[in-house]
Amino acid sequence: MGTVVKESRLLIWAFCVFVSPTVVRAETPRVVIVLREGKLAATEVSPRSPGQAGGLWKLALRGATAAEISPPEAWPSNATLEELENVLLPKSVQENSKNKSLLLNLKDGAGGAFSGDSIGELFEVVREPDGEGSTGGEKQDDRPGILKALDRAQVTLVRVRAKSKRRRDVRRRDQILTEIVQAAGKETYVFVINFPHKGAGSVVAAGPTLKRGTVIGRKRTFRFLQSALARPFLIQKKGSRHDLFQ
Amino acid sequence: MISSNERLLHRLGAASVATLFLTLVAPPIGWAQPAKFRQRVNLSIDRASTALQPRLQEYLDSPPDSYPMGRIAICLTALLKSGLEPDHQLVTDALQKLQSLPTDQTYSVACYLFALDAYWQAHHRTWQEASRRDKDSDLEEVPRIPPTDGEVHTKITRLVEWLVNGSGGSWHYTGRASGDLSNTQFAVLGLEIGLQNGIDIPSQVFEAIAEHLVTSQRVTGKPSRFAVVYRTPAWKGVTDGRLEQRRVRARRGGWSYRFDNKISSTSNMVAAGLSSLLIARRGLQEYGAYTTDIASEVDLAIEQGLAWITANCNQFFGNDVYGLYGLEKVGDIARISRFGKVDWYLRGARLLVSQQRRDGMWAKSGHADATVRTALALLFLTRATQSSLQILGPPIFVKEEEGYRQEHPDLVHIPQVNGFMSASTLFAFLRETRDPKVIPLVAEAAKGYPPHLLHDLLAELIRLWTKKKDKTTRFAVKQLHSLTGLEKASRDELTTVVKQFRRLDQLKTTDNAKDVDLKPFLSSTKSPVFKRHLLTTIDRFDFVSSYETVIEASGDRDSRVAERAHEILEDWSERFREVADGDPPSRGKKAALLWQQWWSRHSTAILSQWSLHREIRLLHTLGGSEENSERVDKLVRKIVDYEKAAVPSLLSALQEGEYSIHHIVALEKISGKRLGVRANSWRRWWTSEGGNE
Repeated sequence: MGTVVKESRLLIWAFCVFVSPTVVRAETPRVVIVLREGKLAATEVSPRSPGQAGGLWKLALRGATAAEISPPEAWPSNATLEELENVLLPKSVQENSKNKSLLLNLKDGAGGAFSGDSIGELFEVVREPDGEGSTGGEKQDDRPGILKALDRAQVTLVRVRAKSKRRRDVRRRDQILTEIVQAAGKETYVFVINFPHKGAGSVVAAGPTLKRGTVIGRKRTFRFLQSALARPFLIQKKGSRHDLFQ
Repeated sequence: MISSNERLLHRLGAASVATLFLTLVAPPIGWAQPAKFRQRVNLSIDRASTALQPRLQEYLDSPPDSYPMGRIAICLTALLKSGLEPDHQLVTDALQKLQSLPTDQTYSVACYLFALDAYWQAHHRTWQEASRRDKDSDLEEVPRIPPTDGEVHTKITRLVEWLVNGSGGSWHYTGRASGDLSNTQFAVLGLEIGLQNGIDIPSQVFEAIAEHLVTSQRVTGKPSRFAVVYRTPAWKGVTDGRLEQRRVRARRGGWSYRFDNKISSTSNMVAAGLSSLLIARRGLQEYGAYTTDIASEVDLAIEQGLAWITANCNQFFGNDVYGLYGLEKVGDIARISRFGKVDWYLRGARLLVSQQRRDGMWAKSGHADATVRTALALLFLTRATQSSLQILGPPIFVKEEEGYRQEHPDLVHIPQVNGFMSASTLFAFLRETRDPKVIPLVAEAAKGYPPHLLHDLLAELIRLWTKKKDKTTRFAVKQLHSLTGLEKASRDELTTVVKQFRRLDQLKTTDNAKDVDLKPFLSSTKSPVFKRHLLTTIDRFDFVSSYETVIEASGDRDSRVAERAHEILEDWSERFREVADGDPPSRGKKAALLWQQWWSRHSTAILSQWSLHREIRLLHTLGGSEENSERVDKLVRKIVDYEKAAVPSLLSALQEGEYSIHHIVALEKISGKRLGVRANSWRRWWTSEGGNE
């Protein structure tokens, strides 16, 4: 099982790793899963052109969207990240990425919003104050112990529990998502899973072999999501197909 | 122009694998001799092989001063052809030694090519035997010819390039230049190895060889009749091959060592000249350069050469092993079983077996050329020039695998051989052999031929229809009549139908196909099958703008054509119901006229709606790639211009389950709403607007 880091602060270092070109290994597919649960606004589940959730819409334009995914009957909303990893990824993938996964809880701030600190820290690291480049490498040097573990991350699972649908909070969640997508780069598979507290969920995904600008409108089961998540690891395997992928 | 399948056959063809094992499994030409004699020949081959191995070792330990590469290579070829395993240490050492020697002599380079080809064929044979023993084995497949990215192919390419470098139609000791027929014979045999292995050789090389041999042929005597008996390739479990006698009337044409047609011909040089001319013809055919002008001269020169050999066959059966070596080349390249009444292999093999010394050699050990003579004798006895097609038959793929399917889109299951085969390869085999035993397999291939390649199937059948009134022609005619529905059509009429099929097929991939007038297709043929195919194409590729063609077909005298046209028109009228009000005409005698009237009322609205459908579909096809972004934006703008009239079509696209996010963009722009990517949200909005899908 991967290292569980419950401090949102560590998210900073996690994405240092993603933005640092020296760390990304092209031969192994990297997968970032952003699981968003709870009080999600409609625009965060069913993407629409730029508004509060412009980042998700952009991702949908350059990737594939499964518009309706039903969560399993007993969705483990109180599950630990390790348990979630077990549910989302097939065993073979978990074994493959053993000790190479990074699991993060991004805590919602008091009153339903993210804490200003965590967002600020995230921005500080992912983007320099002037908005260019990354300081990831330098930060790694400061914290070698933890970064050593992050360096090996092949699968990163970030859970966001949304507590409010207020415009400001929706926008903040989307801002974080935008930063994650940018930091991950085009060679990494990004899966944004949206499971609102009511109704069907959705998946918006992008990556090197995903169909661009496609929407799967048919209702899909949770199993579809599991196999889609496993697909980047099987990409080389002859004959393996999935309708989110080209 | 020669087809790719013929090319495949040629590549598969010629030289190689005349090993003991395979000769027993699939008796090649001339092996229809008594079993006892075959045993004697096999024993002779074994003894010679055993005797030759230490001689090759001596060459490796202390390479001879003259032609070290040639001597080592010809010994190695003979041993591999005699069944020596390709992973034998002697083979490995010999190949390594060859690699280290300089490439500077024509004989040597040609022999090196023989050795590499023999090595690969032995490699293929070993794999085939192993996979036959254990069908579930995971052994990596060794194809019939070396893969293009491998070492053997690269080496063969370099050696062939060395031979091709220079000018003219003859070879000297040191390369392509004004030379002699003996060097030329070896060089051209080397080029044939190149042909079999798919190496590109400029057709001008073969043209120069043919021209040189045609002009240097010494033609004597009056025309006289002679017979040559050919044997078509055998195919284990299908056919033993077929003897076919051809009677020809020609003068005798021979060659001399210096290409001088004033000097008398010798048997060795006639064999050398004729085998070279046969290979040049094959090369020209392969590259589609065997034009009528060249063909008439070359064919005549070949007939004259055959006349010379038939008249002077006895000259080959003396003490000269080189003569027999040359005769085997002519016999096996041309697939000749008998010159006149002489079964050349039987007679030659008897002679060699009787002349073999106790030590297995064909000359005293002190004789300067004892080793080479023994190698040449072995190459005759093993029939080294026989093609893998002659020995193994066309390639059969045991399983239908993706890789094979990519290479051969016409792969069909043939129950008789319990495997998959390329249908066109099978057709080419029948075309070449015209063996009635192959017809049931070809009939099976025709049955399983991919329907979308019908035009290719018809073309294959047309090519089987020759002036010969044999079973193959009768089979082809019957199939063609049945497949086209034209029972009494002539070959020319059917050729026209095939051309129409092909044009229609090309149209499918043309960008502006929707603007092409398809009416001439309909009026220029009587084939109901083609008419139905045309209608299916119109339907499948959605050529609504060709409605006039469909209306015309609805009045066709063939009821199935008319029926198909009605189906399409009814589908369209249903599909465009919202823009074409009123009931479409019912079927009947005047249906075509009624459809014409109906369509003239609605065509503008229907075609406009159809364009919208196409644009919406195209939007999905283009996807979201960055290079298409401009086209996508343009399409979205065009769709938005239809305003709410585009909504039902957009919703219908969303209904299909998988759609483009740009369909959503178009809906957002038309409605001014942002409702997300789910189809249901848009459907609800449209209902609230009072619209119908």
